[in-house]
Amino acid sequence: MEKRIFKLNFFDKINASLKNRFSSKRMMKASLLIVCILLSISIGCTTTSRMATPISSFSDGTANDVTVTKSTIHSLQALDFATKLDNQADCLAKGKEVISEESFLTKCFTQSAPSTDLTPFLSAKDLSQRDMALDALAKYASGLKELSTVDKAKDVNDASKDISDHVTSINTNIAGMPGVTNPVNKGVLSGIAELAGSLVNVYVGHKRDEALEAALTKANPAIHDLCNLLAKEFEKPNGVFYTQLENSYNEQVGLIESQFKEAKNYSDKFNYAKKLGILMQKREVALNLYAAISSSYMKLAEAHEALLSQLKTGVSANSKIDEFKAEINNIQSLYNQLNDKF
Amino acid sequence: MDGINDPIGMLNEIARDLWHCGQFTIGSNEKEAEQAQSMYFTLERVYLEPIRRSQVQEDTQKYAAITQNVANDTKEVQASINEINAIVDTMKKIDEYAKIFDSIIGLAAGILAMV
Repeated sequence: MEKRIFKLNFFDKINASLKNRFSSKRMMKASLLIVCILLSISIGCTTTSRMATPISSFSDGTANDVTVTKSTIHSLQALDFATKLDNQADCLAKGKEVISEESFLTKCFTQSAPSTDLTPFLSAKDLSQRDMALDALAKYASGLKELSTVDKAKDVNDASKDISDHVTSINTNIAGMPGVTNPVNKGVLSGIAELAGSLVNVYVGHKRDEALEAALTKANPAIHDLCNLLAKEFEKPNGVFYTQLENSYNEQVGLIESQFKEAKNYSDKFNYAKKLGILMQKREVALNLYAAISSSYMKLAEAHEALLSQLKTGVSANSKIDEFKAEINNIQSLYNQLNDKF
Repeated sequence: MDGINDPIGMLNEIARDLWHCGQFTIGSNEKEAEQAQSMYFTLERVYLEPIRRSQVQEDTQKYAAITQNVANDTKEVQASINEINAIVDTMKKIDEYAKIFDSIIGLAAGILAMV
């Protein structure tokens, strides 16, 4: 019984206190306005995705990786073809025989090596398909970046402010009409419009994170397969591009060595020796670049997986993104060295 | 005895050994060096490069399929971006309607005031 009386007294006190606080309609409207503004501030600030920074790094790294890779594949094709031309010219000059596969076993121990034909290593289709795959990868990463950074807060806030202005103006016009005695407070109207804007921002943020998770989940297997293929082709020591590059340089080294042997005077010999030294250094850097490109695609796939994991579990993708970025820096450095130093 | 797991890898290794043999014997045994180099170039030109070409062509088919998948995923990402942009467009439309309504009410208020 005592408890019941206490409860009644307690609620009476609260009621009285509320009555004192909101003694007038104006006070209630002002309070509502404050609540609206506070909600607007607290919700309206959360417009940027928490994934925006790691996805931007991922996208920028992918764009650099793709640029270097495309250029490297085209350079391999050019180097290989130039080497084949040099080799043909050398063979024609020396009258070497071009032998077929069938006669390989009987002739390889007794005669000089056969000349290469002039068929490019990569067909036009091989080249263009790789270009298209790399472009698709870059476009996907750039789309992810656009989605993660899509920040419509300014547009939404501008629109909600305009709506607020127009609704306030409507209210003023209505208030000016004969017979209207109790118009709605201007502050309450603008507060509600701002709150609506903030809620739209929250909805946009939610839609964005949902779309990011769906995109990363769906694309993950294809990105994984694409990166595996690229990594395999550039892989040290048996990737097809790696071994073809190694062979192209070896062919060039072989040609210079033969020119060195045939040189009649020391000045020519010195020049060939110098050329050989530079070629060997270039070979080393180029092979390191290929190995780094292979590694970068493994890291790209891991970074993509880590982004998905961050969205699903909240575990930060930063370490995987940093590893990927470090490999991209390594690639850039080797690529610049190859193009600037030699 | 284990079988050969990676015959192409093994051929690449043999080619590399021949190349190094050719390089290291230059100056000491010219004939041996020339023979090793010749064997290297023959192995590369007659066997390994055609094998690589066929591997590249096989991969090209795989690239085609994966490229299509990645392009489809990118289209979906773009669709999501468009969807988000559409939300903002809706807000802008509401603003336009409010503006029109404001003009109508303003006009009505003016007429009422005159009456």
